[in-house]
Amino acid sequence: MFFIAIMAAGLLYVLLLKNYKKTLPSVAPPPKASEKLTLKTPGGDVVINDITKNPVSTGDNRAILFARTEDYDMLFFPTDQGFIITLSQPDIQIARTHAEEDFLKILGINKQQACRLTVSLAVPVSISEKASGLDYGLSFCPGSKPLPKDN
Amino acid sequence: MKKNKIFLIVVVLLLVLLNSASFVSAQYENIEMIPGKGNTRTSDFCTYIGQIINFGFATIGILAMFMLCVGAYQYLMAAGNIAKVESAKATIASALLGLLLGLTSFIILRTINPDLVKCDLKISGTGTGDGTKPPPTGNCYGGKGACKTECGSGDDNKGQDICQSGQTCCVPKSDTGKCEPVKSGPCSVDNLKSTCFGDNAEKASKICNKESAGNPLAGGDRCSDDGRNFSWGLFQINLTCHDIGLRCTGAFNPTGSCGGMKCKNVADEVTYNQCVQKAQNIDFNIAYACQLSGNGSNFSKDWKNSSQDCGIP
Repeated sequence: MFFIAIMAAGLLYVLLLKNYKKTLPSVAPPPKASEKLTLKTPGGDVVINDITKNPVSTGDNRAILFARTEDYDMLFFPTDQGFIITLSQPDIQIARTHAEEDFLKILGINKQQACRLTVSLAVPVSISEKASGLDYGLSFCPGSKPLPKDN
Repeated sequence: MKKNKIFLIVVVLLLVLLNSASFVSAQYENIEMIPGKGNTRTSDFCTYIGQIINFGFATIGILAMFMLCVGAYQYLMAAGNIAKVESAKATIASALLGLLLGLTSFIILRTINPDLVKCDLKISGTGTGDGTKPPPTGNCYGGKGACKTECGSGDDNKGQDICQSGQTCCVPKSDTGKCEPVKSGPCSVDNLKSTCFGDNAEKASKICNKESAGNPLAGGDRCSDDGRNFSWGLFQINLTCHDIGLRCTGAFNPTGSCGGMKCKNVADEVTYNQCVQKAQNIDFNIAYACQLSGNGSNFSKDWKNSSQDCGIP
């Protein structure tokens, strides 16, 4: 019995290791949003593609990860209807450019509409100690900040 | 008597070797592989010791099994001879006791003093402790500061940090205190006010922004060999340091690699996945960060760098 248990544990361990992938999290395709979502903002309603339909992952429905690539994570918080874009590769300039382009495409909105939304663009300390801690915003919106040039 | 002398000499030699700074700082790579570790060579002394210990555990198991078989054979062959039966029972009992002692030695040592099971070769006052770099004399505070005997009026004094004794780390004031709170989501000030952070919500929100950018699914800090993340969630709970009720520190190799020694890789995939899932849980992460920081009153211990960068004690 003892030996069977050890062998079973060993087999399970080997199988788990075999199936483990070292690759980056899957890159989410833009959601196939057939429906629209209306967000209320101080500057009027903004109609976006319904990003809650096919999310990459949800954190107990309070945080919806609707897009993830090696450059960024994009999250939507239904409670306060805010967005957070976190950059996830060390070349944060390129990551920001890609993230902003994709953000407009995925939501199906233009720059003016995007600037009416509550969108934070930030960098975690594990990606850049120097750039972390600030909200840079969308670069084409008023009040946005440039990223530091050298990390 | 002769055996005792040999044992004593071996122990003394081992102690001398282990305490020798030159031995610790020497550049080496083990040539002889530890059985069961394949062709994994290491130049890290602690990893090497860890491999020897793991080999020791395997040996204990095999020897115990062998002695159990010997005892059982003696018992069978005793044929009612009481003396032989007693001898066989003693052999079996000793084997089981040895196995139990061997397998629980780690727990016993950790209960007596957790430092007894940590391999930390850092020698006070000699710098990085990895045995390869000289004591730092220039950059400190993540490269933002400089080690000086006294800070100027335009500098913030960040304490000794990694500077030599008698020096202090001076960071230009323009490089500190630049942190903003998160605007939306679970780390927003409004949301954190309703949690155990209460009046410290703004401070906590800034630390959260610095750590994860407000992303509850964020993974940061990586093990050196397999590149797996070991800090997770809003406040980047370090799973090599915190068990969070799931024995997470044991999921990494080497075990207990919290602090100066970085983890090499994930050793227990199942536990690791459970720990990541728990650390990504919004409510748990906030509550745990609250507990570690004394409801947001002290971030300087577990979030030392972010606390310094944001100018939040």
